[in-house]
Amino acid sequence: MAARLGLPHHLRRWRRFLLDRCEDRAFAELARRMPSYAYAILLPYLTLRPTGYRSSFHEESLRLAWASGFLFAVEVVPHRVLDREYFLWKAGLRDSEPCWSTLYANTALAAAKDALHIDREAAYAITHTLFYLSDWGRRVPPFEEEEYARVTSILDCLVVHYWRLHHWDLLGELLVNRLALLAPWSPLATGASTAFLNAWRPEGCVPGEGLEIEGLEKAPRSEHESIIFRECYHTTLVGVFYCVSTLQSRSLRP
Amino acid sequence: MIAVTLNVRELAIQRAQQWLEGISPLTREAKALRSLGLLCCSRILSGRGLRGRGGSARFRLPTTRDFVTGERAKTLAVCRSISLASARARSMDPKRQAVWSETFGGVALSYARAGDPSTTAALLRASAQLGLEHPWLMEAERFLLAQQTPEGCFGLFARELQMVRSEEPPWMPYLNFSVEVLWALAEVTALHAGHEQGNGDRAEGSA
Repeated sequence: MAARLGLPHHLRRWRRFLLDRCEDRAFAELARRMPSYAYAILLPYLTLRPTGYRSSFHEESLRLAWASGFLFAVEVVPHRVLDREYFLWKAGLRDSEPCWSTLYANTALAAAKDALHIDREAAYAITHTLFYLSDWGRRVPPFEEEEYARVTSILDCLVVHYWRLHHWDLLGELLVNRLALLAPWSPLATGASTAFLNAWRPEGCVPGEGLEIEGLEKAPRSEHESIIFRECYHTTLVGVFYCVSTLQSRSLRP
Repeated sequence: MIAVTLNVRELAIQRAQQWLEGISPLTREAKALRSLGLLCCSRILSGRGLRGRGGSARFRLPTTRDFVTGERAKTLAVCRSISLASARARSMDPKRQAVWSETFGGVALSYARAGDPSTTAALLRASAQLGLEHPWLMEAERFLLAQQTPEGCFGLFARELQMVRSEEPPWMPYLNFSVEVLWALAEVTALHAGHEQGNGDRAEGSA
């Protein structure tokens, strides 16, 4: 699957990029110079750690951040706790797999009775909650039947909303979630998926929330590339993630 | 499938009825709206609902894609054309009904989330006229009921009204939207009443 998408080539480049970041002294020092950013600065290292990569400088930064207690401060929104526990577990810094059901119970998705109260931020919290619970699409989240139906209904309702708004970033993430849940393909979901894939521009990117084509045309040609990158990189990665998830979801089916 | 606890809805309708009874419109249009609102109230409370007969017009629903992504004006135009369509034009097979139930429910909630209860009301009314039912449509109904003011009318417009100075009587801005909501709820009631009637007929037939 990865070979079909040409991923080995890209993954090598991405790994090299992350390694360069981690080995950049100026970047590494930020985790100790600005302790409030420690987790964000250490995240690339945490993602490389499961591959066997070790840096004594980052290990020490990690130890300091851990000892400060701030990695585990309670003032973190529940889906960010999931994020932290997921990456610490993946980095081999937890003895056992986190108790997902306990972590999930505090999230907006677990609490939501309907989709009406879910704003943009809560929608992102929901998509990320499901990313971690599904191990980024590698397994079906462990929901009971009733919870599965409730979660799928909320996702589908949000799919219609963000499709209507042409908010491709959230729509793409919601479609990835549907794949991880192995949600059945309704005509609406199929239509949303087609619309998302059709949003892919000839330049190769998927428009992000802020990209107005008219605005782009008004900007000097020399700035087009940087505008497109800034406005589209995340949504384009979501698009790639959706394509990978589509192929990956076949292996999830019982 | 009863959407909202009947007591909650009945109470809301009784309050709306009292509000309508307490206003004294002067223009022909406002008087007609008040009468329609009161008719909707009495029909909802009697459980019969109000089934707009429609006309003889034919209509075609757009594709689901165009319906979801269409502009607000087009969505409202589709809803209007459904109200004007003949019963025959409104009927659809169960498979299409399932798809359109989800579509109308999803779009109605999308407008509700965007703070546009007027379009939500139009979509709920049109969906009932098409005989559509879905949990999201029930949610849309609950959302509309939540738009009731302590005075009994529908429309939480205090913020907008603070920004405009008007010589109109204070109830005027609420009349249109209140009737939109009541009409939608009356159509939903008629749809449920139709099911109960259908069930009753079947029970009698089998007896």
